Amino acid sequence: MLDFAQNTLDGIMVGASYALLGLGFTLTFGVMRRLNLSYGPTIMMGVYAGAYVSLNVYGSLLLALAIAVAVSVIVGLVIEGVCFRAVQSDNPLASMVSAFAMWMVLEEIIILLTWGRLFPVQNPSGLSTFDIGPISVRGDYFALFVAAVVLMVGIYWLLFHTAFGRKVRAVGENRKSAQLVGIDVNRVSREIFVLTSAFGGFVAFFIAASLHQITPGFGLWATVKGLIVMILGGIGSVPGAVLGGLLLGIIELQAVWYIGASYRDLIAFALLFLFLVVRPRGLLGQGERSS
Amino acid sequence: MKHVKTLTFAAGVSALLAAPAMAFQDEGTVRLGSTEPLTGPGAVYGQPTIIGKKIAIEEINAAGGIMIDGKKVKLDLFSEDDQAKPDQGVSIFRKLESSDDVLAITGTIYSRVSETMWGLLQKKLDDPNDTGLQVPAMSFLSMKAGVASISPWAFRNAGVECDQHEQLIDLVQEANGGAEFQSVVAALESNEAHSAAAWRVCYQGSLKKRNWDTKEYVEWFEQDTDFSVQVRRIRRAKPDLFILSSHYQANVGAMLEMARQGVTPKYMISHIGADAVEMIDLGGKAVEGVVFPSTAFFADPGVKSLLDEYSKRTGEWYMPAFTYLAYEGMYLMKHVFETAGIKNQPDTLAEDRRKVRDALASLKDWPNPMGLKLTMGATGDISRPYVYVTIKDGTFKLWWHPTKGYMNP
Repeated sequence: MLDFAQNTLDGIMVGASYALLGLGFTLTFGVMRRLNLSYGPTIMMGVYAGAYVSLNVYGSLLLALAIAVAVSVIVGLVIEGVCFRAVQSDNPLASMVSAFAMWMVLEEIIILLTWGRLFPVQNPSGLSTFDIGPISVRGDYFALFVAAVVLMVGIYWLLFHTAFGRKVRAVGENRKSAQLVGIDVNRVSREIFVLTSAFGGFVAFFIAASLHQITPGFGLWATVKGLIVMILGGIGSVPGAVLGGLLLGIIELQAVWYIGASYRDLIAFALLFLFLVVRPRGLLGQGERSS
Repeated sequence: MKHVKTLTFAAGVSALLAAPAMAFQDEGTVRLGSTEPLTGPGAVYGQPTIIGKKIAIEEINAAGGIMIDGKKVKLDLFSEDDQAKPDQGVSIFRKLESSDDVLAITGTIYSRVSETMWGLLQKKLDDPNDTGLQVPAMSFLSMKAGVASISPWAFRNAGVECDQHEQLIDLVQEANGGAEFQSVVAALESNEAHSAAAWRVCYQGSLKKRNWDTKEYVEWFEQDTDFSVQVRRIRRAKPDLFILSSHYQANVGAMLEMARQGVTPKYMISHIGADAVEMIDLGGKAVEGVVFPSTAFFADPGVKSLLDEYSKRTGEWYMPAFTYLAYEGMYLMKHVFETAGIKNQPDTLAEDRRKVRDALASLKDWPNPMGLKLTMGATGDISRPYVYVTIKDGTFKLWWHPTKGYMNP
């Protein structure tokens, strides 16, 4: 029972970061009605840039974090321009394929510049842990969890209690109608890319710090986790992304303990498949809307 | 004027067509194929390898080249990028063999790619019904057990992995006062071919031979990010011997988690996948104490000039052993090309390739650049002495040396 509780707590901690990755995908999809497959590599570029500066120029955690966020935003804007605004086709596949191609380009740039080397990322809380009764909690996971909760609350407030949020939701509901009532849809799209890239870069930096490293495989990892969370939670649903992330984190950790690490991904994908068949809208999704 | 242009064009085409006849000995070169992952995720291994090869070739050519059939010729490397992709490796292997007409093909790094490429080779020597390719092929890594046994045309200079692990287990037991370990725990990076083969073929055999059971056994994947559950199991087993059949990418994360959970096995051993500066850069104190095999320790005086040149070109303070293996491999090829009795002419290519294969297969007591004598085994693997390296005080240090014994126990 104690192990079950420990796995659950660890799963919640890990799941909070999954939730934010899923949130990045779901917000972009909610507004663009297109899948941004280069989201993972975008935030990976940011973390690599931050880690590079920290390693070779000036070893400051805050500077590295600021650069990670800034570079993620810049790359995110390039992706928005190249893969979404420039690709005017009504077929969402066109943007998806374009974003996939950009994923490959970004990953190859990193590999060409670094030989595929892993870069160290400073972990502010080191290897510290603290206990809640018999349960052990990692200091860095707890910090990541708190940061994720604050960000999620902030994003929720932004979306549901501000004029910007109303525009975003209007564009997400119906792009053409939003345009008809005078909303600058392209501007909202750009702003959503800035927002998702910024918090993606922030979260990716803390995830990388918890691993003490950033690897060229991070983009793929973040993409897979984010997509699963988006589907589990329900495409376009902010609370759904949170629930999906926590669910995935808990199930993964329990699977590793009770079944074995080799089955963890298998179970995660089986769960995804199950949702797609039984509940394609996900936990809190609203189903298809017209664009 | 039109005639002049036509004649010039015709002369150009003729010159191009005639070029192959001028190749090889007549053009003063001997062709050697090379394939590594120079881009893509495998570049982390491929780039240090090609640098080792290039340094050796520049040294060889600067010293006059290779003496073949009474004439000094330059070593000409035909380098390709397989991106660690088996299908790309197969295309490259065919191109080097048939279009580039190289005398031998060196590479690649990843066992899965070497296995696929070498699957094209003749399986039975002198069997007219076996139409496999007949070109000597040599890898300077591809550590997976048994890879060079695929074909009599395939060779490897990285050593025999099972011998390394067998010897290392003997050494840690000896260091432990000869006492049996009370709790042996193993961790396998189960989605990586080399690690899986090392565990199943080598480590498990060594444990079985000693009638040792693992008290705990865990698995993870190369790209895993969270090791808390596996390490909790390891912690409960209170290991005194911890076997890591895993590469540095996962080792670092797992060992950081071990440090976090206070797991401190008396001995930690890993395969050659721990031979990476990232172990120290990323793992810090958490990776201290791990011991792994190596063929060439970077601080050995025998590799100092190579290390200096490697550091100059890369800015790195550490040089992985496989850079040396590639460097050594070029000198080995030079030796074989010089002693095999080849003619290095286009029309003697098939005959020359066979001579090179036979010379590699019968290699005996060849003194390598470090002064060690190397002999080719029946499986296509060079048997060689190993050193064992540990991480201590933030750097790599020799843990055991064949002539000096235990150095940093």
